[in-house]
Amino acid sequence: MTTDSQERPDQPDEIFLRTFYWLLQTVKIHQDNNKVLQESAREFINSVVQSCVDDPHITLEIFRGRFYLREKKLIYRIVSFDLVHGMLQFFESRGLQGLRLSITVGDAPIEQVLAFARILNHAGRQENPLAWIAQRLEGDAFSWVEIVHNQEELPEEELELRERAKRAYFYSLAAVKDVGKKIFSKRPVGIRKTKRLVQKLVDILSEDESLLLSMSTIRDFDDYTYTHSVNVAVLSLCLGKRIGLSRTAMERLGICGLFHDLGKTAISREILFKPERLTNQEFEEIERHPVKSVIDIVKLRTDGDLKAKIIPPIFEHHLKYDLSGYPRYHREKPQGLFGRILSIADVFDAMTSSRVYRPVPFSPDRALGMMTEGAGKDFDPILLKVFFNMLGVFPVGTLLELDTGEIGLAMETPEEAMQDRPMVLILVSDGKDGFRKGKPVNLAERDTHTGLFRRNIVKSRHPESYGIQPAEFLL
Amino acid sequence: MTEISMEKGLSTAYNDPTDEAFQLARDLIAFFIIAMKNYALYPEDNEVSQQSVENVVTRLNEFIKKYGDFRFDVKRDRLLFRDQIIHQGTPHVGNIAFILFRDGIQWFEFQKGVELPEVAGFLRLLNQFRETVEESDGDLVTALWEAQFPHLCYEATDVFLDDETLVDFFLLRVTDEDHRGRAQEADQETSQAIAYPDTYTATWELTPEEINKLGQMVLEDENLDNIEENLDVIMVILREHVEEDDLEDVLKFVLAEFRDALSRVEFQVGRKLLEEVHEIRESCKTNRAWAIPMLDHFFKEASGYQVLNVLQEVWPVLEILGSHRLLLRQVLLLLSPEAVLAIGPMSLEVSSPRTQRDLMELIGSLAGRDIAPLERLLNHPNKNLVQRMVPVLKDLEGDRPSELLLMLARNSSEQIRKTALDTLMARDRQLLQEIFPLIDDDSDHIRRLILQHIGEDRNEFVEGLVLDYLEQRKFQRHDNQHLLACYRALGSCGSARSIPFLRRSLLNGGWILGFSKSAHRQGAAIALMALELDEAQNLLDKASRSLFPGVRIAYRKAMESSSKKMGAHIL
Repeated sequence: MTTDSQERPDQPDEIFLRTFYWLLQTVKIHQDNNKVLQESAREFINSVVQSCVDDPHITLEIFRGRFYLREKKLIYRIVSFDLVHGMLQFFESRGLQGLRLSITVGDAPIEQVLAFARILNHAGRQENPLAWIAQRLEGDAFSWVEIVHNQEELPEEELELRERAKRAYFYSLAAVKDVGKKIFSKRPVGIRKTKRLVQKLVDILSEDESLLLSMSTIRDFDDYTYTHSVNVAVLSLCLGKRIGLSRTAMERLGICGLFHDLGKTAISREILFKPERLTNQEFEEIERHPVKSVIDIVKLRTDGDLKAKIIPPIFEHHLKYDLSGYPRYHREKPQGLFGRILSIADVFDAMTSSRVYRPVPFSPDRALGMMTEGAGKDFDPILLKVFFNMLGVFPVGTLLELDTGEIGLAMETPEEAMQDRPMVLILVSDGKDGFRKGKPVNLAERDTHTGLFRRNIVKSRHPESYGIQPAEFLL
Repeated sequence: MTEISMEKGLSTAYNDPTDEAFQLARDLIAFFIIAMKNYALYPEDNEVSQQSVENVVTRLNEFIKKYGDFRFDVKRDRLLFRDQIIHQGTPHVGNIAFILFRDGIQWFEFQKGVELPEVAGFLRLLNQFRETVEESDGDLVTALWEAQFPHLCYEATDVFLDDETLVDFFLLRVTDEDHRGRAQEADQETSQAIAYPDTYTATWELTPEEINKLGQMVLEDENLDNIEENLDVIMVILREHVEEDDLEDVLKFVLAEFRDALSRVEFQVGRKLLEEVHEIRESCKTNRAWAIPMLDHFFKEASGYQVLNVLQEVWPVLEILGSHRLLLRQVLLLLSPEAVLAIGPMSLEVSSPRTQRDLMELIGSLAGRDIAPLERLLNHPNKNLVQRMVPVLKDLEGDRPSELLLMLARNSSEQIRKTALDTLMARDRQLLQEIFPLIDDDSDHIRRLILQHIGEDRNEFVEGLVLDYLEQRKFQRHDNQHLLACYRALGSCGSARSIPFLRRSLLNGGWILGFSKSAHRQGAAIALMALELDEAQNLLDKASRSLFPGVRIAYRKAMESSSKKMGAHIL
């Protein structure tokens, strides 16, 4: 939730970056003997020492336009946006991919630390800043710092997290299929696997929201119901986290997402894949699926308490905020919170997926735009706002045409300040009617001379129209 | 509970474990296993259980103080501390290593600050998930995740997922190839130049009111009791959507919810649930007759011991929550009369007289709709149960309760006979004729009781029975005390009609043969006294002056007996 992040106190990683930034700024305007400057150097030293808890070193490096600290993506608050982007520009303008600082900086004289800061600053005026920095930092005096040259490879932890996320997604897909098939064939079915997988998704979400959102772009035309179920679970979880749901509530929400369309498994493929307009009877069968899903939940081998908690949201996911949806029945109570979350996630994923009756899906940004028209009628207006903030103007997976002639995939939800300028993964033609990964670019990046943005979005397109599976490129 | 990486775990502790550390680790696991066994054997609040978990926590803290966080690796049949075995056993559910390993736990760590509730919670989960059930709703790992113990740490693998074939991107078709070209064209046509939403911030920024409302929504949801909401949904489904194939499953779920509602003392939920199912049953008569047998079966199940046994935990609560009594009564009255078969035996366990009384009234109400289940209880081999149920028959309408009481009045148990007689007399004194033969019952108590009922008030009909019994010498017992009691009862219920017989018995006595002549005389004198009539008094005066010593003695003994009785009464 936006406010949550605003109110959250400074995190240790953020403190480290802030003290570093402060040192680089104050050294520009003060002499070495200035008290303010010396204080900022001491704060910088302390923050390095305090950051070296489990490891005598701390590595700050840039990968795909983001800072990684100790091989983990740096999570920061909206209020720190300017700080983080200022530091990114500072590093990038010097060709500096990263720095590795040792705990021994604690033993270094203040003057050395100040000299280090001055070197970094002065490098901006050199022809080859990186080489200049490397040359200046050589020698014993700066044994506590070294330049990091990354190989455009993701840090190991990040790679491992991505692999975990991918496995969790596809195992979830398999688990939902398994449950659906067992229920259909009237075999007993528990939810142990489902629970474990949802727990994994919740854990991954706590580490990297963008990663999970990337997973939600996975599409399968032939087995739409299952990928849709997992996507709804993922999107619901991300929204649930944004509004501050507890861990166990998240678990329930994830299960609701995975099982919300279980009832569709009983609907024949002839109806699900019918390109023509459905007859009234066929449409009624489609509209019965929330009821069938609930009946399927009832058959699960799990405790009644959990069933009781997941049944109402699943029943309500097509009910709509103003209760004008289905199943139609006399009702006085409003749609529940989980039902309202599922509604939003369900519609967004459905609108952005290619279906037999609608081969051209809506691009994610346009789907969001259309959904806003339903705020207060189809959707809870507050939750929709949070959802919009979460996905950004151009949700992860949106295919964007740039004014440079390039096309790219929105790859990361930017913070609010730059919602309309996401990180984009440039796609390059592979010469065989397909694409390969290009470089990641930050659309918020400005030309240092003109101050203008380097790239602007011209149009948004839908990746499915080009047969692009965004997750394949983003993961 | 936090999951940490292998790297962190390796870097934190045990760089140089001494032999002492190994010994301590081994002892610690031994204590842990003892605690685990005690937790399986005794309730958690039992002293043995509590002591054993305290032992574990004490040792854990000692270890952590000396050597840092206590982490061990898990193998199929053993636990390792720095590659040395600290516990080993056969790979089955009695072995802690196997339980952890089976659910995929690779290593486990107790961290600094670990507290007793965490260790106790872990022990509870270990026992709960000792056995695995196929297609269960969770395992040790899911439970640990949910418990989120702050100082217990582990890493778990996807043991049961490894067999799954993972799909990959290349297997997924994002769209129908036939439509791809058309899709591209359409996309070209429909894609629009981006008008940057400059008003973005103003439009999508949450206002302070919205932030506040959002927080409230989350809070309300976290505290929400979904039961009623859930039942609303289920009832809508039952009423309007359920098909024949699914009804049984849905009703099973409703049944479980009903049981849960009772166990949570949420009687209003239980009442609502049963009322709605009753309504649904009524509505089914017209258009879904196929549902009626299943709905009837539902009520039968809901009225059975398997469901209602949860009330055993509820009785003590009713003593505190008096207002719930009426609600519970309303719930149980919505059940089938067969509920008597479950509630009756449970009533024996109830210690509170008030609750017992409530239950008896309830059983009476249910039996009023159908007495058959109560009849089954009255034939139960448990005499205590039968005796408890007998008074219920008092207010039931129809002939059957009287027939049952008459039958019970001949029960082999004296207590049951006595209770049945009391109930019978309280129900209808005209039935005394039916039980009159019990005047010769082997039991003193029963005989006394019959006579007590006979003498309760003046009743011409009853007088006739006793008179006939004495005059025709129908008594089968040769027991003077019994005779005297019969005469006394005759005096209490009789009238002037008995005086001729009593005169003969007292003054003539010629018709009486044998040793009991004196008893008849004395009895007649007692009866005459009890009649409290002038004519009877005259006869007694006459007896007191009789030339026959036997008559005078009879008179005197009767007087003495009467005085004693009077004295006893006054005292």
